[in-house]
Amino acid sequence: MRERLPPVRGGIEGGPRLKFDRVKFMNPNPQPSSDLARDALPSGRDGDSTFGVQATLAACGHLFLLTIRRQLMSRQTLVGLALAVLCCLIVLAGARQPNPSPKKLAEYVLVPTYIGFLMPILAICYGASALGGEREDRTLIYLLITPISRPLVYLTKALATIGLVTVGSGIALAALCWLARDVGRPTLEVFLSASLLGAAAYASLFLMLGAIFRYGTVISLAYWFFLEVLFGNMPGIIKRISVAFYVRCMVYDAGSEMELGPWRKSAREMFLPVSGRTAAITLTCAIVALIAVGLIVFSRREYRDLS
Amino acid sequence: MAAIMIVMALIELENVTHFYGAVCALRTVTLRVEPGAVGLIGQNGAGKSTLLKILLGLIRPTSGRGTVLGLDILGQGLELRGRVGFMPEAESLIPGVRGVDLVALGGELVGMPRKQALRRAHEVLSYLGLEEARYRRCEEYSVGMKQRLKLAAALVHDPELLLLDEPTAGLDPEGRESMLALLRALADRHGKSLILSTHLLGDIDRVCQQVVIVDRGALVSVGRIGDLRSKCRGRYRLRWHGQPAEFLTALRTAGVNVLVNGRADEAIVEVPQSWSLRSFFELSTRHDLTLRDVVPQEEDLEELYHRVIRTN
Amino acid sequence: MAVELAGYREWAGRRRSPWWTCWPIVRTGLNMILRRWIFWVLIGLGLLNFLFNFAFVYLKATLTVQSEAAGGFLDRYRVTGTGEAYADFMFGQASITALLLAFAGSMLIGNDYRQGGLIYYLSRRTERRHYVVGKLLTVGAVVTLITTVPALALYAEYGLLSNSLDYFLNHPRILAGILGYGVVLAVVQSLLLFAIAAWVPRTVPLVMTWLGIFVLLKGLAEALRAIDDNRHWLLLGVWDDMHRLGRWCFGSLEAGRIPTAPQCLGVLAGVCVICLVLIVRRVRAVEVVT
Repeated sequence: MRERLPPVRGGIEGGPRLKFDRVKFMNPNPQPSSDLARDALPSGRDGDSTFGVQATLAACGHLFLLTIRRQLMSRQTLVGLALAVLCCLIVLAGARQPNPSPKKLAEYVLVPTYIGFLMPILAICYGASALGGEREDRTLIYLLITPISRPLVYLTKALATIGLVTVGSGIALAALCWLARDVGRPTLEVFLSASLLGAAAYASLFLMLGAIFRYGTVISLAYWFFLEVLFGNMPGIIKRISVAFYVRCMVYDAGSEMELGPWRKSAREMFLPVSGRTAAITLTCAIVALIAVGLIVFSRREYRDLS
Repeated sequence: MAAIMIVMALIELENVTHFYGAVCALRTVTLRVEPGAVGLIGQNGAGKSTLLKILLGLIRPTSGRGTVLGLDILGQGLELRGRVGFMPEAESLIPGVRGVDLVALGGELVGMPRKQALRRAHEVLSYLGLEEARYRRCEEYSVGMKQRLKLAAALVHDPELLLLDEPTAGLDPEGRESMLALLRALADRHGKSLILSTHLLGDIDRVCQQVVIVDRGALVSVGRIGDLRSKCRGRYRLRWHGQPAEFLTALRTAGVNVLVNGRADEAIVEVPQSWSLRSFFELSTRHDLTLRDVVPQEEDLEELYHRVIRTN
Repeated sequence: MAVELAGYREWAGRRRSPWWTCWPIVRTGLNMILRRWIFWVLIGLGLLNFLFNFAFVYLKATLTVQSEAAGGFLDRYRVTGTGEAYADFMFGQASITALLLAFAGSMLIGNDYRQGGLIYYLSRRTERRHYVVGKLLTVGAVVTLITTVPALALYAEYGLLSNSLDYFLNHPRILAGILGYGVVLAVVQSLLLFAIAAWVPRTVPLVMTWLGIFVLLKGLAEALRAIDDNRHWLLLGVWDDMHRLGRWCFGSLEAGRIPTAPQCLGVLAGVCVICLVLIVRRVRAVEVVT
């Protein structure tokens, strides 16, 4: 009778189970040793299903923290901070203009600067480089040889990236509104939910593009420029394929009391908005769909740029 | 009247020192190397790559001076690099460029006209066995092919001197064999001088006649490998018939150092300066042993390296 | 083995001056851009704009022959053959070029610092100055090919589709304007891109910095101007400064209106000097060859 081998849970079929700690991600020659894996993981017995769940959760936790640390400790964080500082200066200048109002702050400053530029740029900065950066640096192999299954790797990465982008965008928005003093507080309420959903949608989109395309970062930037900036400002319903459209719909809906809307008359006429509720539902569905598509692609794809 | 022939030095350095910030990478290196194949040995961080880059004029030493091929490394870097080919350890290729274009670009960057550089690139790639891969982008090459591609780029302008930084790194045994054969052919048949920097002493043993040993930034030894080995006098390989236990004990008592005794019928021994060869035979006769061979023994390169480093 | 099959041949030809090495650097850079489909999307966008203008000039020439009024009608769409029309056309092309450079900067320059390509150049008969000039010329060539050359083609078309050579003789300032604006765009963008890509070589941070300089600085300049209508703040917008200087080259910048052309020139010169300092510091840094 043929002996049945236990199922392999790692990304590469037949690959060894490895000690799972952060050293592995740095070490090009990790030691294949089940003993090491046992030492590194929470107490339990081999073959025990509880042990497997705990170990997997611990491993995912490590990956989550590693992703956040790797993303934060990069030069692009510095550049992102510099851009945020520039946006803050714009808001400060806006607050010193004659007759400041929440409407002016929203329409003249936050919509073009924050929604149109800073939020998508932050999402590209962290979203596209979450997997795209691993592929560019040829470190994807260290993710795939971990004892975590590929869908879980992707989900953990997605959680870390979406968390980072939404929190980063939220902090940036709060800082901008705080700098605008009195007019900032009502504006923050109008922008907050749209900002969080928009940031999450952008992050999941760019993460997916990084998983699909070899040059995911360049594709993400091209997408942002062509679909979001160009198509997003075209007449007709073509703009409804852009994330920014739904974010703006949510903002305009939440700020209906302030009579928020595109500030040019022609733009107002051709904006063709949907309700805030529809926009929120669309963005939520888009986030789920984008994560699902990315997860399927990442799980099934044989990457050539491993090392 | 006896004719005096002066051989021009390939490299002459005088008190060359280099600091990276507060870290001293090279300490007052003074050396003279003659044309030919020269091995550059040292541990990681010993200063080999820094020395190569100084020789190439890529890095200006903090102090000291020197010449390579008679050209001043401080003031004639441009002419120098036109006569030298450099194969760096790092990948240092240009992604997105095809192999043949990369090699031709290397030729053009030393001043070759475009057509000649392209023709020469095809020739050199064929010579190095890359004719079928020449139209591939260089990031698609395997490790071994990349090493050859780097060598091709270093050779394209037919330099007099090749500076090779770890040329066999990452190669499989067959690829390594092939690379060493190429280097030997370039040195022996085409009269190229080589500076071969590597950790692999076997590579140097097979290609080079001279060796430069550096350790922690300082020059430890320089000279012909044969000469350095001959300094190891007083070492013999002994082979015998019979039981050697008493004989070996007697040797040790007489102050002889028995280095290797892996086999039952032979040993390598190191004798004191006052030792006479006749003493081997006297002791063997006294302990009822028949000596078959007493052969003066040379160090291999690894032993030489360790001895020099230890002495230093 | 290859050694036995093919013999090594020696080469003893004449070598050119090291300044010639700039040309292969430019050619290699252009080839790298032209081999990637993603850049063709942007080049195609620029080509589309050019063909649109080209067709409009042709249409205007044809209609004017049939009816002066129809030609005048088309003039309302800025196909007037004036300096302003060319300045607008070049501004549009320059926007596309800026985007293309943002994407290509990492590949053209950043990779030399990330993947050791700089050693490849500097270990040849090439000094750092030749390398820098070669790379600047590469970026300058991209800018010129997408902005200046199409504008010159439109100028030639407009003149040749008229009934005499009067257009060329009466509007030499337009030719000077096209060349001047082209030089401004090429010089400023090449220095800026080199400085940014040398210090921030990865694609995403490079694009962020590049767009930040052009988009956010313009926004900041507008916001500061709106405080007390001090137009000097507009000088902060480097992108608009280039355009203003370009309009001055064409003679279509409103005289005396702040910011004036000399002020823009001063700001742009300052930016170029800062970029040059950054480039020299980066290229001379020892870590780029170790």
